[in-house]
Amino acid sequence: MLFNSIQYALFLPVVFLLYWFVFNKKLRLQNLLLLVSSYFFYACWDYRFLFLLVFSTLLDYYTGLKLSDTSVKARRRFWFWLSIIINLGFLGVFKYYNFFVESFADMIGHFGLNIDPWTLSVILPVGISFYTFHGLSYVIDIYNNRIKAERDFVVYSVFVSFFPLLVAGPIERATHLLPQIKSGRKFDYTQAADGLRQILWGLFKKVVIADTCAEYANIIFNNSEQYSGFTLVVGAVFFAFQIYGDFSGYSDIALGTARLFGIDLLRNFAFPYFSRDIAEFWRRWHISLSTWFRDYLYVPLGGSRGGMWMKVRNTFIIFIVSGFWHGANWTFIVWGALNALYFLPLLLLNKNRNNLEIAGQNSVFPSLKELFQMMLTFALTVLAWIFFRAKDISHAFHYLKDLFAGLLKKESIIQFLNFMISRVDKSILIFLVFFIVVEWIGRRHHYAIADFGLKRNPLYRWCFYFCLAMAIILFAGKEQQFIYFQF
Amino acid sequence: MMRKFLIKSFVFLSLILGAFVLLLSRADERTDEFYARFISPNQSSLIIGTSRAAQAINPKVLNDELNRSDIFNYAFTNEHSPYGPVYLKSILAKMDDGSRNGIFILSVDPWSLSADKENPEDLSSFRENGLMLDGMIDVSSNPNFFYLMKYYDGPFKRLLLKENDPSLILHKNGWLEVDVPMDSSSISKRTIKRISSYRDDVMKRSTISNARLAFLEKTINTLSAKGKIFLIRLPVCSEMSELENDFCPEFDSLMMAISIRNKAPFYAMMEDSVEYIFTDGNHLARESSSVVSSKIAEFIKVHAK
Repeated sequence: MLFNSIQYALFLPVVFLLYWFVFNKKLRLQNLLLLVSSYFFYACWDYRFLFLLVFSTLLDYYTGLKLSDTSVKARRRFWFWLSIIINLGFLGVFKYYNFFVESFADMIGHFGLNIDPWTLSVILPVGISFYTFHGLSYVIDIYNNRIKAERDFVVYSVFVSFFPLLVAGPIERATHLLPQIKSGRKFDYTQAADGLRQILWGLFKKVVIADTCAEYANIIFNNSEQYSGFTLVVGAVFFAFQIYGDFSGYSDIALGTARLFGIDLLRNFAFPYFSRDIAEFWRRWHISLSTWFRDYLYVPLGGSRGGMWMKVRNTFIIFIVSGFWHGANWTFIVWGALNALYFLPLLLLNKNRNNLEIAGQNSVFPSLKELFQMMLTFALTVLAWIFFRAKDISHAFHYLKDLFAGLLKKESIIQFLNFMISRVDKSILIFLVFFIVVEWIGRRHHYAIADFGLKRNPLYRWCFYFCLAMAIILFAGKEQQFIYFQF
Repeated sequence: MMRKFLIKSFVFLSLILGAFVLLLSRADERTDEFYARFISPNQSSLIIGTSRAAQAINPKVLNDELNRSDIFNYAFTNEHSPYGPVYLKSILAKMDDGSRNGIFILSVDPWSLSADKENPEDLSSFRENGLMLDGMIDVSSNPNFFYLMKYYDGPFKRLLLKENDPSLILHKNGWLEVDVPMDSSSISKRTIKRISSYRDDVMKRSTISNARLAFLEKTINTLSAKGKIFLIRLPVCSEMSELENDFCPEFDSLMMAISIRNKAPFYAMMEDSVEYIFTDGNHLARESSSVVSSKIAEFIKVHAK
């Protein structure tokens, strides 16, 4: 069930009405409804993998209780590692097994030993990377005595499988979400209206921006050998907007949906393309994952406490692991490593925390310096996205080679102009400009239209929402799967 | 507060829904190459087949020559409407229940009676399963919201701005008029492409399916109660004709046997191919479609007696 589908448009109001009108008397019943709805939502993808979700939930719930009930170090360590190994084991088998055996076969093939590796032909259970990380953070937090185990199984299960975040995050923390699930919720008009507004903006990003950009990015990436120079640049830029619109749009819909049920989820995006350096970009892109790696990998590895070498090593580790988290492909690893390389100069010069506030915090427009920094950071990001989108490493390098080789060639410029004039629908260019302007205006808020026109006559606001909704209906691109569902 | 929220949400959604319904109501027979076939009322006489028949048999010519007004072209494409359970179900859904004196022109060719080589008799693996005709339950509503929501391929702004493909003109009677450049070089390019796709792809992975042949007979038998049946093998260019003979050399005799068994006259038009112009070797150009439709009308006049 996609967020931008008719099924979801029917599912959401039904759950909403049951939640506030039928099950509103008791918190436990409300939670039970959320759990059943979440399992139904997941089963609509593939009911066969529901057992994996339930097993993972049971495992971490039970481990949590065991960790809380004993103070014997050895026992605690046993339960902790058991949970870690099983959780990562599932992830390893379903997501990484084929990658490792095929890479191993390739490697020993270089030494003249040819083996035919036994690979698994299973599809990746949707959301496995996300709910596994939910469970891991819960167990690690209990092990480190940051939180106490949750004894109510329904409450814990909702924490793991709450449907808005189940398949593509944000990756929640027990400290943030569990207290909200445990405490009574009252309907709040402002919160619910804000939720709907965020869903509307998320749909616009996904359906109009991401899906339309995807059509052109797919044409160029899938036939990249036919293009060069600026056309390849445009392909990568389209992909940059596709992935941002797709994932941040998904996150907006998830956050907006959760707010309809009186629950606030962690913010996942904070206008990353307005970043002035890569460090700022990573504070604004997929925040729930970046902070997860910071708290559960970077800090335990020593963080920045052990001198410069330790900082550099740990930075490379989290970027590469973060890349690998996205998928079992060398392209993601190189993408992570490239971002680590971008990050390195800032780290060495101790400038990685220079830009903590949004660009143009106190002005309408960015300064020229800020504009240049934003464009440079965007260009670096786009370059890295080429690895993320390419089907393999060799494809990425060929793409880059053709891109740079054709930049100054007359034929390449003609090809680019032809592509833009004959293939690209002008409406997407107008929407991209509109999108950037609205995001810029709303950059100080949680999402771009959070405060849009709230101080004006409601009629203007309604007209704006109506136009957005009509744009979604009229200009929807060909429906594409959310990119992050494959992770 | 909840009341206010629900009322405001309801009003907003109603506005959106109203605008959406108005937008969908702008769809007409020019919307795409299928829509007109799903908005006409139920029919009593049908042209049945794939895109060959959709482009070649013009109901207007037939109706004029046969002094009728009820012949409707309900032919789709080789992917969507080969003979089988899906197409038969759709044909029956399109039929007027009370019809008894209809005319049914069934266009036959080896491809519309073929299936995947791996399991040609397995109905569950037929290529049309899950496609448009399989999903369309209501085939006679105007506007047909279900079709527009599920199968309309393209952003809805095209409905608003009436941005139709100028090369495809679907008439109210179901005839698909194709307006493409007809200079010899363009025809040659399209023909080469079409022939090679059949030779290198379709032919290699397909074989004549007994299950489809059985469904052709079932279609004939079912429609016999509602009128007279005619089997037509439409003309194609010489290269395509050779290809079809390689693929199924006994095709005409197979059809003749079915024709005799079911008392449905069979007209093989392959021999006149040189007289016609094709857009791509497989589909007749609109000028030739009138001639072919006229010949079919003559054939019906002779055999309907």
